[in-house]
Amino acid sequence: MRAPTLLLAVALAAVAAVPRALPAQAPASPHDSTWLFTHKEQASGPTCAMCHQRDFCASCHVNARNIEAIQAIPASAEAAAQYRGHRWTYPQPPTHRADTWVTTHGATSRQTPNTCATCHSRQSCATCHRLEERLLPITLLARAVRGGAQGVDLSGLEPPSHTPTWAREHRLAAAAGADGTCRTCHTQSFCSTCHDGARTPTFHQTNYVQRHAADAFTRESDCASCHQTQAFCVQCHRSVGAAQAGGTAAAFHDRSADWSLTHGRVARRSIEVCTSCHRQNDCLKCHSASGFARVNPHPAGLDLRRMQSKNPGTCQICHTTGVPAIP
Amino acid sequence: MKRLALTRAAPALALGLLAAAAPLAAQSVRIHSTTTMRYVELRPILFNADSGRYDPQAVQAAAPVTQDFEVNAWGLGVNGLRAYGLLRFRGSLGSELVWPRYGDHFDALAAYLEYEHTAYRLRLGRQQKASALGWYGFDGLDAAWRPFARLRVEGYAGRGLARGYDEPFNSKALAALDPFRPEKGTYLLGASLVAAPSATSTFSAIYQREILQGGAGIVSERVAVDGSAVLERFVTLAASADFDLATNEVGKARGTATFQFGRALMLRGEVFRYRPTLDLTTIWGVFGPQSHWGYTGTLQITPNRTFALWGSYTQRQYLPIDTVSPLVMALPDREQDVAAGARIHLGPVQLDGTYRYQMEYGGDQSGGDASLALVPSRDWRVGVKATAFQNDGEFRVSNGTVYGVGFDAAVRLADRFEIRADAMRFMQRKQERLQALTGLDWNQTRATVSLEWTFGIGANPDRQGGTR
Repeated sequence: MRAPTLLLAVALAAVAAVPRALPAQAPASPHDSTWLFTHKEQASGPTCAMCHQRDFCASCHVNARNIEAIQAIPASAEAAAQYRGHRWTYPQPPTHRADTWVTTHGATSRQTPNTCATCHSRQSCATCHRLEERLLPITLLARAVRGGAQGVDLSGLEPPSHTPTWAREHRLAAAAGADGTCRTCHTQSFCSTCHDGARTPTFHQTNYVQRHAADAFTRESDCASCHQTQAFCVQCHRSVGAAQAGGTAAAFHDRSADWSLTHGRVARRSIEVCTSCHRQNDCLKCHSASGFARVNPHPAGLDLRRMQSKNPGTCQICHTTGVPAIP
Repeated sequence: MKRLALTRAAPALALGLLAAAAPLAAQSVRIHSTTTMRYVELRPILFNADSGRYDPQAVQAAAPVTQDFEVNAWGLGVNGLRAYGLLRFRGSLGSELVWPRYGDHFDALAAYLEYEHTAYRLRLGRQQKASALGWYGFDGLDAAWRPFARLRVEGYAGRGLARGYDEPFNSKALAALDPFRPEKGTYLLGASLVAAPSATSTFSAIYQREILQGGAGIVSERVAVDGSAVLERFVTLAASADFDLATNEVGKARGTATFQFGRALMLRGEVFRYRPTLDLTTIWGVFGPQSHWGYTGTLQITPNRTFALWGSYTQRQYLPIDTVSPLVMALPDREQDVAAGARIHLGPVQLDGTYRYQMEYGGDQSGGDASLALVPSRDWRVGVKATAFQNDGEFRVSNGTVYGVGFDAAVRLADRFEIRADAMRFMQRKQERLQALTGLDWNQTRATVSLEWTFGIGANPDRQGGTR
């Protein structure tokens, strides 16, 4: 019974999506494809009223109330009912097809705001300009109201820079433009949907819980920017048994019996991965100056003197009886 | 108790300011609510010392719930004054498995008052600083000065928050996880300069220092520079680098050249270097973590609005092992990553697919995702999706394949009220080595339902919809 029910639901949804039919008996339009861009000059006489009611124009023109030529056409309750809530597909003017339009339209809108107001409601602009409703060209636009013309739907519009892999690559642009370019469209809550987000961010593949290991190991991205290692990684790894409290069992390390002896190279390449299961105590069992093995973990070339001068307390975690002189 | 009270004082003060300021005089208040409920199944494993293997346990489920409120209030009697808050409540719906961080029921991710003037901007309260150094939070003051239209000088200082945790560095929760974590909190301070020499170029530099309270030492001290420039309209160059002053080491660095030929063709080359940034308050840094470098090439073809195709290749190169010793493990010195994707949008029908293959160092992984959606208008969307992946190599869970099928749907019931849902069922097949090795079992179900609702006047506070 489930499959027919699902099919029925899909069919009903598809039917609901079909635009409402317009008057079937309407004669063929005498206007060609360029008419929409040029009819302003010719729409000043009573000719329009022969075929159209005011509500027909107002179903497309967001600012119909401010256009004298439209207001001069008689209204019709029947037409109002027919066109109420109808969503037209607005044609795209040639100027809007330029690659640079996204970044240059601001200047044009300041020069000719009334032109924008024909097709764009205030909500159209607010699709991107989330915090800039008070920009002058936007305040001059009419608000879309329920049942009236909705204006151009710009939802989903993205600048050319936002390629399919943008979520993984936006770091540089965000660092340079966090308070400028990005803020045109995004508030901090958008960043927070991924950075410490409640939902799985889009740049993580499906079921990233199972697939993240290779990314974490190769440092595909800086996990610690969003995830506090001890609180997030360790907690989860212990919950599912992938990490053991205080354990040094080699079974999870590819069943390598000599892992404790040979892990050094891996640790130096990917030490952040070690910290996603292990805590400092685990390393100190062998790598502490006061432990039984006293294995020195400091590689040649490391500026230990500088690090000690910056934070002497850290040295004392291992060198509990005193920090030796650094050559 | 006294310390607890102090650590909560700053966000509580900011919250109080927000709560008091908004109803008092705000001309406009906008509250964006996002409720997210998730259902996650996991099958824990338990190491059996006798058999030397991990035994699968019974399936456990977690049902974490997150409630976010974003509050924006302006027109508080002073032109340019704004109150902003991003508050998060967490909880679990009767599950036996607690998802990470869901034992912590409240966080103020941001809560500040902002005064915006033509020449300067002041922010006071809890805030997040995004820069080339990463993502850092603090409770304090951020002051930005714009002496010229294309120049911004900024300084910030305050009590530091633990990275990725949104609580003070010395929070009791973190101290309980690591006995060596310093008892003292931190101060975070920094300064940055952002310049836009031309309309198509930006440059920024930042210095940041985290110091332990009481002068007991520093946690980190780093500088970073980054910049980008558009040349001849179709070439964009970008680069960034950071340097760890505390350890005298170069950290991450990245350089990118992007060639955009109209909308139809994009070509990008990138060279990068990675070295982890580790707090000086831990012992990890003195183990001498190694850096690696790599490069990525990306090609994207978008012949028209209905079709897009992209592919990328990444190679990471690690320091070779040049010693022969029984104590040095044989490891591959490189990692390769091939990815490709396609997007077809034919009217209301949207078809998306991606594939990615990783090999050599870090373990082999191969996986693809596909989705088919019907999006007749911005008001609703319904689709099905599928995935398949293998995870083999050093971090294998078995040599089997995991398949997943599911659906996603979104409906906008009103201009400012939207519901989204998705669910997937994952099935593991061909588990020949399951019993012999680590024994994780990936047969499980995942689901998410989220409700987004905006109160107040004005537009939604952020872009909604889409598949981003």
